[in-house]
Amino acid sequence: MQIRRWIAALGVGLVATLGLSGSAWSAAPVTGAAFCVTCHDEDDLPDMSKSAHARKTDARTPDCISCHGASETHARKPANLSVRPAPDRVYGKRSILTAEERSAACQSCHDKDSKRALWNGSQHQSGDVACNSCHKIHANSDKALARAAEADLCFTCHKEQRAQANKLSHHPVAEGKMTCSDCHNVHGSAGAKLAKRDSTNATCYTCHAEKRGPFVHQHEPVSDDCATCHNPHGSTIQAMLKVRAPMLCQQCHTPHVAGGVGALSGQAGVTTPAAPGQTALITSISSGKNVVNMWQGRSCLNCHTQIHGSNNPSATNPTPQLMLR
Amino acid sequence: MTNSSVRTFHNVRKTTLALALLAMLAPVCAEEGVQEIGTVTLGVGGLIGSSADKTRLGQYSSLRGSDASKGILGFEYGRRDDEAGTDFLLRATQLVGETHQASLRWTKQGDWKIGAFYDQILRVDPNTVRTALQGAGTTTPQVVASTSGNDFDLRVRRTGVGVSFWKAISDTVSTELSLKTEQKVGSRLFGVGMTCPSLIAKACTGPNNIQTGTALLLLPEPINANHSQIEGRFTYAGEKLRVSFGYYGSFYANQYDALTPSVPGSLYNPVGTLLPLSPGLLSILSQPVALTPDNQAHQFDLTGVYAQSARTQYNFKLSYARAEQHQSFAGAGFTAPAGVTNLGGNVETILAQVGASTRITPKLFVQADLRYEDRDDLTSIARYNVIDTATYTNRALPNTKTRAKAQANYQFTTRIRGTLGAEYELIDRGVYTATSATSGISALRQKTDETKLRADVRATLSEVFSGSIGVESSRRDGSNWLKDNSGTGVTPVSDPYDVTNGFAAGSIFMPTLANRQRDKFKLRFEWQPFESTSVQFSADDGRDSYKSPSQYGLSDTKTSNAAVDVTIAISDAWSLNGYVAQGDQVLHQSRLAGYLMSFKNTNSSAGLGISGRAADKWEVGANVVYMNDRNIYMQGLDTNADPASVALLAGTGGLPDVTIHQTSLTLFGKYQLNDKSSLRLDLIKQRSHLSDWTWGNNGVAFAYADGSTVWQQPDQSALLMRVSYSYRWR
Repeated sequence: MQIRRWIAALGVGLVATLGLSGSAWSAAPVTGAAFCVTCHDEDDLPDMSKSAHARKTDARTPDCISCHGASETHARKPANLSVRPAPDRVYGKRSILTAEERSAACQSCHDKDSKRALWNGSQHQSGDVACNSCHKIHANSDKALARAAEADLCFTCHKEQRAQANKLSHHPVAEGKMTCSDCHNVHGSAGAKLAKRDSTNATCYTCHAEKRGPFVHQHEPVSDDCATCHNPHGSTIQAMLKVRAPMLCQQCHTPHVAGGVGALSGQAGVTTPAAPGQTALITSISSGKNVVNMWQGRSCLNCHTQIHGSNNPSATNPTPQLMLR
Repeated sequence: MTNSSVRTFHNVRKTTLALALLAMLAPVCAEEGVQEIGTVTLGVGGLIGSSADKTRLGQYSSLRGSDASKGILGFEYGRRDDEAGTDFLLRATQLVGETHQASLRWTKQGDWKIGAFYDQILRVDPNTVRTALQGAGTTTPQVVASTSGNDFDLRVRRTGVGVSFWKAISDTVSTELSLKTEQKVGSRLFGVGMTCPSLIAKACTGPNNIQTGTALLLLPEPINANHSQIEGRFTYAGEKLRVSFGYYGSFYANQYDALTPSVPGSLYNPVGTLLPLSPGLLSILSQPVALTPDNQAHQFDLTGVYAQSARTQYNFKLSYARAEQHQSFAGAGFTAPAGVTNLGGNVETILAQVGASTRITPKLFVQADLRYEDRDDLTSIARYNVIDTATYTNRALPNTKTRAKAQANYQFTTRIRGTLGAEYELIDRGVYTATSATSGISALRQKTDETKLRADVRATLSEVFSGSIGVESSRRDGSNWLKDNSGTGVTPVSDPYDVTNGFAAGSIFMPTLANRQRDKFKLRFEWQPFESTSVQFSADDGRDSYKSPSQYGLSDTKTSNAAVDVTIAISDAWSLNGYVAQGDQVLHQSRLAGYLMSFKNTNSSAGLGISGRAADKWEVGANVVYMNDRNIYMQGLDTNADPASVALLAGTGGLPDVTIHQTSLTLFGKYQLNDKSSLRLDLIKQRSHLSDWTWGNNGVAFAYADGSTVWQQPDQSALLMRVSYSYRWR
């Protein structure tokens, strides 16, 4: 609001001053952004007087023309046109500008930050997402900059992640303790899937540094990519696993446990005989590598507990290289 | 002073400090060009329901006790000085209780920025442990064999503070620095297990009717660790060249070195009989478990952009990172191989990425990038591993990834734009450490390479209808499979089907290494039939098909998602939004002589919300979200299935479905008492039903050898209620 008044006042003041001076300039028309606000006043546009784009003490602060272009034919409709042409650059849903053209206006100022250095070639840029697809300029508050509203903005496009974030095992995004930009740099990154740091793992380690290692006994998929086993957006399985153990583990490892099919305690034939005269599968002499210990509890991790790696150097049998301790 | 009164004392102290700070910042006489806005919120909130009813809704809340309540205190103070060009914002919420958030931001736009935060998050596992274990959550728990225990919540609290600073040194040069540290305290699900006899532990004998030869123990992992991070950056932003040099340091320190349980001489066997442990098993279970060692990481990077012209731009990132782990084994209470004092863990990673983009013609825009990442594992190699009398070393895990990507965008008309893209990635996992040995693995692979092609079209078909459609296809291949030497090292196998030198039937070839065909399809459209109404539709479909020398393991997966969202601005005062979404995931997996698993997950969800201004002084809103998630484990039998597996599947009927239904209703109402103060009521009612056999099935709990069980109330219903008063001044 203030910036518009300031520009308008400056423009009007300039005209009045020149007029009083009797100079040949006294008939000069209002130009530049001062002319824009003669039509687009506070009744026409939302208040943005508190936004970063309205800071008069910052020499970089843009005016209307910085983003929308000189728009001469829009400002002064040629007499031979019945319909006033649109401004040189418009950003709404009806804009015919490409995403690059819309973003170029913003980048003329905002590409000096190292966090946006890798915008070109990034997933959002490649997917034709422009700055104004997420950011609201003519407003005092921008959803994209408010932690509480950010996830809802991202879910506008990322529907699969919206469903995952509501599952049982999830990061506290719905609770407002975390948001998408805690893990992602939406403006471009050297990491996979716009991970904030240079890899998925490096991003996870910013909160889960205990998994970084290295360890004496390593589990290769752990050091390779956390997303091999985990879905960080949410899962119905504890610890945000993509698939529950033992199935997850058996995608890579040969099973070594008796019981080639899944079965549970409380099922007929497992801990109790299926019928009179029959023997239950699990008895007092059954090995611990039984179907119940395989499919229930922590499954494979009931014994192979150090799934992310173990720093135990002990050479006493059973040595910990099988992630036992 | 009891723990409860200590917490109350600290909460009162924090609240007093907050109020004092607020009083200090209370409005002063208005200065020219200075605007101040302050808000104070006071109230009370509670999570109504029994403790067992709220484990899912209260997962990230401190309100887990029955009908738990707490005060609400929050404030916000903002000061904007248009003449000086400065903004100050201090914000704090949830100052009472165990979860807090506070932040400060003080900036002179274009000149400097100062930030600070304080954050405390609590997570309580939705599962409750019922155990007689003494010292649960400590490094020296004492196992007690008993079928009657007490409830123990597994909770982890993170408390973090941080400061940041940014300064423009000149029009083109700036610098920034941020420091943060977080303390993590609590415990999480953990344990040990052993079954005898075992090739790796011949000293213990197996179970029989007079001894327990197998045991699983639930021992919560104790957590007390600090993680500190520092990041500094120096940036030059010229007209054409923008370059930034940065350092990142991460320092993890664990107060605990090992978990050493005290185990009794008798434990329950798998059928619940208390029997003496078999000889050898007690000493195995009593051995210390290594907890996470201290570690550090450092990274230097040079990131930048060169704008050759308005049409052509290059970007780049070069970085060097080093991850270290040198915790003393003896200091942690462990005995290492002779001559070894610590792991000597050192992993160095070099990253080089360059990208170029250029507008060749007004309609044609192309971009390409090349990424090279080399992770060199320089960790010392030593003979840590013993199986029977054979010894072998740990294994280095180097990894080199090279990726090249190119894309062309063509603007067919002002309304239609097409994209073609191609990508190639090569991963080299390095030569297998010859002195190490695999275990439980059929095959490894040194190299994989994947080629991806992508095409999509976006169109604005009219002023009210726009959409996009995209397809993607990739194929992965790799080097020869590597077979375990039945000792140390591996050997490449040129013909995996070879009867003598190939792989045995039943071998598993990892989906991360196997040949794979991946295909994806995406469809989106947005329709705005009226100015006030917007309809959005999205659909994705993806399939992975794995080709390996074996029919066992993971053979294929498929996911599909579809969602419809509608937003309606009913009037200037009211808006309505709703959505319906469906997601399906299917995977097929099998094991030799065992199951043929067809797993299916179906997730259906819907939401409906309305909000608006009911009268001059009333703002109200309601939102209801429903979710239904079903996991189906359909088992068939491999043609080689043994009679025991056949009988087991016939007798049990297979694995039951795992399901969760959840409905959440959120209501809010805000009444403006006058232009400065308002009253607000928030209600969240959540009902959920979980049917999951992980910790029990058909009334039979999964029990540990000491009688510990884990449980979660299947049907839960809880109400979160908050009443707050806000006073706002300018």
